[in-house]
Amino acid sequence: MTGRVCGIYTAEVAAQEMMEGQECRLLANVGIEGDRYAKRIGRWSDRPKTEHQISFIELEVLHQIYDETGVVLTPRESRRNIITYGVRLNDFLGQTIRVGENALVYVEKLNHPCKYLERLIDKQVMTSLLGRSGLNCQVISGGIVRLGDRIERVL
Amino acid sequence: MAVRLLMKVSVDQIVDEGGGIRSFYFRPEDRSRFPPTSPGAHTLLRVTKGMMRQYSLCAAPGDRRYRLAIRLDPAGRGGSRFMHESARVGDVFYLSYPQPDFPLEPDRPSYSFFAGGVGITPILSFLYALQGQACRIRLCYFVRAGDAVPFEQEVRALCPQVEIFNSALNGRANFEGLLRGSQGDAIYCCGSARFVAGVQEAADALGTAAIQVESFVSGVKAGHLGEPFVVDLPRSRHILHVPSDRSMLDVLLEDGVDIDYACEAGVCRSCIVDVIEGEIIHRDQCLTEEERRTVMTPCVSRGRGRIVINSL
Repeated sequence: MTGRVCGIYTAEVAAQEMMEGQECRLLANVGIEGDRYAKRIGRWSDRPKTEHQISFIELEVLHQIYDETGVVLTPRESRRNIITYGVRLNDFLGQTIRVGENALVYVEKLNHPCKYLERLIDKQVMTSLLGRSGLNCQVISGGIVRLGDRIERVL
Repeated sequence: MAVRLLMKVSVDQIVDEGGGIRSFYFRPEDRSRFPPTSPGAHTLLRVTKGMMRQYSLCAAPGDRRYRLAIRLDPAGRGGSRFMHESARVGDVFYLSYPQPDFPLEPDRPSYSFFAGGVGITPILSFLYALQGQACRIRLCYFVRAGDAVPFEQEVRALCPQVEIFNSALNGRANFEGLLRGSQGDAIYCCGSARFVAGVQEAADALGTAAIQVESFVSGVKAGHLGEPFVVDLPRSRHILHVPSDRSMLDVLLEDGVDIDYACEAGVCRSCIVDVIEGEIIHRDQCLTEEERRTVMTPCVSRGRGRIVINSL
């Protein structure tokens, strides 16, 4: 099962509007260079967990939410780092996936949607995201990730 | 409700306004222009990590920058001190989108504004909004003894008939007497909690129709969540007051309590705390009846009277 990276987003501090990029650098066991969690100033950084290093969500989920509820949740508003296309992310739970040529991430848990996001973007999306809110992962091996890069399970 | 995302900004200009108040002008760093504001809107300024402060937006129309007026409070929690002592032109900060929770009712024939000290700032945005409109405007502006009158030139330009009261010259304010001259007006009041309470009390005594108020109470308005209660944290020896419009979680976080939390909806169990004593009004959707005897989720649940929490 292979998907593609179709969005890359980071924020310098907690609650900042996500900034869109063409590429990013993953740092082993740190996160994404310049991102709030790599800088340890993210929303949850007071209780650092490796699962906060990088997050993913499917573009298809954002489309489904619009189809089902009429709510436009943009990739930027989803506040996940990597937007994917063409892959079922939940199937990766507990596995290691390769992103781009070199970067490896371990899928620690399924993301749990929260009211915090709703409050930030002023959209009712928590219920819609339940069970398909993306992944929280640890960066095992660093590397550059670019738009269009492949995402696949490491066998 | 409004979008609460933060925008990256930098200090463009700092102006001393008198009375210990400085205006900080910000320009956007990663966007071409700011979202438009509405009269009475405020923004949340991220001073440093974990230190958010709420300030009215009061730039003149046509100025594409945001202006925040900050009064130095040496005995405060540190936000104003940091801005006055450390912030320099060019420094980067983060500001939230405008939060329009003190709106101006349009098209009224007459308005009365009561401003206490730096509470003039949302009133300034009202005055700008009403410029050129055929309505009667009354402004009662109260400043502290010995203070220069902050924004005096700007205020007089916007409202030449402003009535300025200096406590050194005028003594204790006679709000009732002043409000008698404002019957039928749309009345707005902004200032310290004590100032606003004084005006409100006078309005109640006179039977004045509802006045719109905003005071310098920290935190985020969230509507009426329940009755106020007290949280006793014996380990840290803190006693916290949870007002009716804030969650216990908000108050704990503001106090610096290192507490894990996530959903803020009583679902995820992240913020569970142990209750030693007191009656809890449980509103979660995750605890069993057995668990509810000894724990609670402060994101949604509340106490009655006084409760005692363990290990915080």
